Amino acid sequence: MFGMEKEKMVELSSENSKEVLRLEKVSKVYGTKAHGVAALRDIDLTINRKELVGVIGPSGSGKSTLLRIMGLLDNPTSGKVFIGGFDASMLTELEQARIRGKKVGFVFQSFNLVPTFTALENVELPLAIYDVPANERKAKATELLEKLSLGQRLDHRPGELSGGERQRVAIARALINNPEIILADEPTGNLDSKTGKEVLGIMKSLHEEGKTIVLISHDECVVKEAQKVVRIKDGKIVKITVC
Amino acid sequence: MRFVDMFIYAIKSLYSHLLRSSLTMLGIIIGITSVIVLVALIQGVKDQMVYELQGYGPRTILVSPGDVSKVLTYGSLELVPTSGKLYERDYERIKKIDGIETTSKGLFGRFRVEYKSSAITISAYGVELDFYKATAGSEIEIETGRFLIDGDTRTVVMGHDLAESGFKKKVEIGSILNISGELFRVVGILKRSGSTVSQLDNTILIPFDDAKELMNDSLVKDEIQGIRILVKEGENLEEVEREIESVLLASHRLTPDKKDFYILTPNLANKMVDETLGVMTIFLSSIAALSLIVGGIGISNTMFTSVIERTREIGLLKSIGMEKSTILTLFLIESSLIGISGFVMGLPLCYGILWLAQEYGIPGVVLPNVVLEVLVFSAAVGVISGYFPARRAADFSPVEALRYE
Repeated sequence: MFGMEKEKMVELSSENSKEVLRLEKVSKVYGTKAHGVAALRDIDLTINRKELVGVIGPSGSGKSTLLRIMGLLDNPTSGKVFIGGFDASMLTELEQARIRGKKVGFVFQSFNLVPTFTALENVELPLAIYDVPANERKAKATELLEKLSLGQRLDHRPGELSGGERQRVAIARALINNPEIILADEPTGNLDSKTGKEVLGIMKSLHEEGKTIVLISHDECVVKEAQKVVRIKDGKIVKITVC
Repeated sequence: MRFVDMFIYAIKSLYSHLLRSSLTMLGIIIGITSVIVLVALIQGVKDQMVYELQGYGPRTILVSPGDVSKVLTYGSLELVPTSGKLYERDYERIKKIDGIETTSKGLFGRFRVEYKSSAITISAYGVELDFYKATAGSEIEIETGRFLIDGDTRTVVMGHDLAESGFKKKVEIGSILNISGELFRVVGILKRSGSTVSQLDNTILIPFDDAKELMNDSLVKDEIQGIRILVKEGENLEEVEREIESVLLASHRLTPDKKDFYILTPNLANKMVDETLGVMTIFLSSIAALSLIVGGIGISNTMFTSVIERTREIGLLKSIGMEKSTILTLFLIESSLIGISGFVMGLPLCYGILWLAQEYGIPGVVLPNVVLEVLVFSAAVGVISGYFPARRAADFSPVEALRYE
C-alpha cells in the first residue's frame, strides 16, 4: 500500500480490527532539553473504530498538540503512534503525507479553506491530489455537499459563505477520501452557538453512520455526546470516562 | 496530482492577485521586448547591408588599394591603409584572366561642382564605358538619358538625389556643370538606388580620361584607384579571386603577407558584415538580457511574498496529504507561468515596435530561432527565480504553517 516496504507495516488493525489509532507513552517537548516546554507527557490513548471521542481541557493543556500528533502533522519527542496499521515512527515524510491524505480527515477551528477555490473545488482538492479524474471527483464532491445542505453553494468561494457553511465545506473535504478517522480541532470555536450546534449535529450524524471521530474542545457542551471523554491537563491525561 | 490540475491551481493563484502578477510580468515583458527588438533591428541592418553590398552584383569583384588584415584576437577584419597603389598594368593583366566577362578601371575623387548659382563639393567616379556592362545585376540603372558611351568627353551621369535636390535648381539632361573649372554636360540621371554603401544617389560618373585629367596632380603615372570585374556566369568566383590575387602579387612583386591591395567579393562582404554586427549583436543582446534577469528578480520577490501570504494554505495542503514535491512543483509552475505569460504578452509589443520602426524607415527582422531562445530563457528565468521560494514553501512544517498568523 502506497509502495511502502512490508517490514514497516506493523499490522495492528486490519479492516476488521477494532483499533484505529493508538498512542504509547507519547511525549512532546518544544524547545531544547534544558529550556523545553513539555506540551504532552506520557500519553497512552487508544481510539477504537466507530468511536466518538471527546478530548477536553483548558487552554494550553496540550489538546491541539495531541491532535496534531494523532494526525501525523507533528512527530512526538518520544513514544510511538500507531495509525491505520502503521507505526508512524517507521514512516518517511512522504509516507506520512500519504497516510494523512488517505486515512485522516481534519476539521480545523479556522476552517482553512483555499480562498481562491469554490466550495466544490475545496472539497475536490484531496481527490485531485490522488489523481482522481475530474468528472469523478466533481460527482463525489457534489454529492457530499448536497448531503450537507450546500447544494446551492457549490460555486461560491469561502469569502461568500457564512461561518457555518464554511465549516460544512471543511467537513465535506475531510470526508471526501473516506478516511478511517476524523480529527476535529475546536470545530465550533469560530461559530455562534446556533451554528455550532448545527455542526455538532453533523458530527453526531457522521458518527451514527459509522465514522470514527475525535473532537477536541475546551467546551464541555461540545463533547457531551462523546462515548469516551478524555480529560487532559498540563499535558497529561487526568481522566478517561467511558459513557 | 495531475499536471493539468496543478496548472489550473497555479492560474487561479496568479489570478487572485492579478495586479501583483501583472506588474511582475511587466518586468519580463520589458526584458523580452528589449532582447527581441534589439536583435531584430541589428538583423535588419545586417540584411540591409548585405542587400546593398549585393547591389554591386553577385558576380562582381572589386579590387582596391589597401590591405585587409585579420585581427586574430577578435577575429574581425580590419581595413589597414597602406602605401599600395594599382596601375594600368595591373588592369591589363587582370583583363586576360579566364573566367572574366568584363573589367573596368576607375578613379575616385572629390570635386567642386557649380551649377547655376550654387556650388558644392561632391564625390565623383571616373569610369570607363565598360563600367556599365560590368555592373550587370547591380542596382545601377539609368532613369533618364543614357550612360556614358564610346567617345564621350566632358559628359557626366548624375546620381538621382543629387540631380533632384543637390543644387538650388534641379539638374536635367543637357544641363551644364562646372567641375573643377571644366564644363561638363549631363547626359544621364541614374535611378534612385537607396544604397548607403555606394552613395551613388549623391555621386557623379564622368569618363575615365576626364577624371584622370582633373586629378592629374594627385596621381602618379598610370595610377588607377579601383578595378571592377564581372565574372562570367557559371564561373567559380573563388577561383577567379585567387587568380586575380596571384596576378597582382606577381605584378607588385610581393608575397601574400605583404599584400597592398584587397579583393572584395560578395562572400567577403557578407563576412565583414557578419563579424562587425556579430559583436554588436552579442553586446547589445547581453545588455537586453540583463533586463530579463532583473525581471526574474521581480518574480522571486513576488513568489516569496506569495509563499508567506499562503503559509496557512500550504499547511492545509500538507494536512490533506499533498507531498513536498507537489507543493514545490505547484509554485514552480506559478513562477514559470509568470515568465511565459510575460513572453506571450511581450511578443505582440515587439512586433508593434518593429512595425513602427519600419514606418520610420528602420528595418527589423525577427528570426524564429531568436524568438524560441527568448521563450526558453523566459521560462527558465521563471523557474530559476521561483525555485527558492518554492523550496521554502515545500519545506514548511505542517504544524508551523497551520499556526502561522
